[in-house]
Amino acid sequence: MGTYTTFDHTADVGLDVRGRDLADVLATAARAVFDQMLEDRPDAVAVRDTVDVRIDPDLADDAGEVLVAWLQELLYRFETARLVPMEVDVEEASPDGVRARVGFGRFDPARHGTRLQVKAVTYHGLEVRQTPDGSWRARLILDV
Amino acid sequence: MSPGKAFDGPLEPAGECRWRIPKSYKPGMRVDGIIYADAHLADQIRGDNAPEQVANVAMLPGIVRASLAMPDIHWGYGFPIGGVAAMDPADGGVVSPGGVGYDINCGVRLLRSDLTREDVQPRIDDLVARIFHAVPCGVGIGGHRDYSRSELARLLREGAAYVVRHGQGWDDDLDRTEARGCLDGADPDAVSDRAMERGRGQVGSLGAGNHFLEVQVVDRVYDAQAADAFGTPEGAVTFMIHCGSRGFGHQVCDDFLKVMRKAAAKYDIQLPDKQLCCAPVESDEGQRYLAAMRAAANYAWANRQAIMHLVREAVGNVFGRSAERLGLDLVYDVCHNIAKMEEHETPAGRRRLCVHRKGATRALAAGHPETPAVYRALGQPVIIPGDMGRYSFLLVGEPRAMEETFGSVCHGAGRAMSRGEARRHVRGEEVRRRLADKGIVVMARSSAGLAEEYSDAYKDVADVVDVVEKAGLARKVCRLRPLGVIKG
Repeated sequence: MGTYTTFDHTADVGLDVRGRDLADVLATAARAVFDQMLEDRPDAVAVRDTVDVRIDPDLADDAGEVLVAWLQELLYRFETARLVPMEVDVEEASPDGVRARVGFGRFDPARHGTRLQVKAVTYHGLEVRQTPDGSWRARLILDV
Repeated sequence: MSPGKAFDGPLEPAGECRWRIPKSYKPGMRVDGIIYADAHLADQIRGDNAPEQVANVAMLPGIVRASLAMPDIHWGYGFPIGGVAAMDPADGGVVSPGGVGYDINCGVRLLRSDLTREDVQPRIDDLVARIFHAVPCGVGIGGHRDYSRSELARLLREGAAYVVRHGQGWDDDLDRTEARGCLDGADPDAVSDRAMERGRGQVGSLGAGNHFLEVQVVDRVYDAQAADAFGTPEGAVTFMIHCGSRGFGHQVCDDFLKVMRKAAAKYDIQLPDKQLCCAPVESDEGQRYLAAMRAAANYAWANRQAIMHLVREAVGNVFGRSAERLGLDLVYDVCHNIAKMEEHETPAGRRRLCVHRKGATRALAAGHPETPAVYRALGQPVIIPGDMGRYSFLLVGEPRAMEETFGSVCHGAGRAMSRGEARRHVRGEEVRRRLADKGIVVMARSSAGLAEEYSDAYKDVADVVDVVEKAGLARKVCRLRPLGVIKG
């Protein structure tokens, strides 16, 4: 699993994510986003279902758009079904799309503390690239 | 372009509380930029790169008169927060989702009452707790029920009237809501399935972040005649609701940022920043965005109406009297993130313009036909929320706003500190204690969220409204001090 740090951005929150490959960056970014929204993740939420999540090329045509589409997909599942991605196995990731197996737990407002409402993943200053040492790095800003 | 770096371009004095970025500053600017601020705020504004964004907006096709910014301006995505830009469709004018923002029709609703501070103070804990439990709030928390898709489609067309028709409000609430809580031309078919799914379960919920619900008392009156007409004399207790279109609006914005990026290329619109992506108002993309954005605006008005209904019930229960008998009348509901087609005088005559207000509030002076009949002799109430430790303001529009800013003023305090910085300064429990010392009761689902919203993280909203008043755009009616705060 990769690592991430947050950086300040006036009213919003920035994420600086590092991973060994694009798949690792996507999995780490998913964890980072839900860390902003929920307190005490990941221990409190038990995995209920494991399903396939796909991002198709018609949704995205470069690595940055793939990252945004992937995170928006997870936010959508959280808002509509209270699903929290707990175990993320990105099987395939390229600038054309993503295929992942995701173990989702269910958010329970009576039990789980919350932090920030992430409204959207923005395109501002969005950067996803391979670094000279071969690992991958992404910078993105969440509108909260 | 980032928010961190200071603006080193020209800010020329242009009259009382006005600063000009001349269109000669950058090639491609079609009009000047005008920022409303005093010398102190102008210094702060220079500190982030928002004036550069004002200049960028001045490059957009069809922009009329000037790219305008209010004293609470701060850096935003593409367009600055606190920006006003009016585009003439007959001159190739564009509409841009970035000029509205993610939270479409984020706005404020103010409810007055016959209750006084003396009635409320002894029961404030109970009152805040009852409202907190009645109004769903917080991350991941939706409304009390899921709407079917056909119900939601009707709500998107009808706005606040839909929930009033279903028993959540009074008929005259609509008279006291901007645009009567409904923009014509909303089309649920222009909205994605995803937005519909996100919207179904969130009607009547506050959300989190900077959204809030406050119990307040009028602690200072500046214009007694207007305060009496608005039902907010000194000592009166009011309730303020600040929220928007929830996940529905966020999804509409996100969907159309993708559409507009392609459209900008298709129509060969030169953009200094990709986040200004846009399409001509008259194009298919522009019309579809407006149809979806209006649906989101109507969603937000229905949402605030539904929340107000829950507040009326909760307050009625605490005091054992009906909301009618407690005089829980709506003062006004006004939006601060929107694009609307409005008629305005321009140097080229009277025109129908697409007015973007992103973190700016509509402010109509006395006599304007869109001012509610009950307030027409005075002007439209303008509600400016501040931070939870200080105060908010009620203003009324003045004629100069229509002459200069397309009938627009500021929308709030604006952040002085990032969220991370705020969290490092203070913890949620400390905020709770400091507010308690000031006699303010707070209930919040998230302690970290509370820390990020504490007072010192915001500019003093009094400085912002003073500029608006000095510039002659609106005048102060009264100040509203929080007694109780509810946050997500």
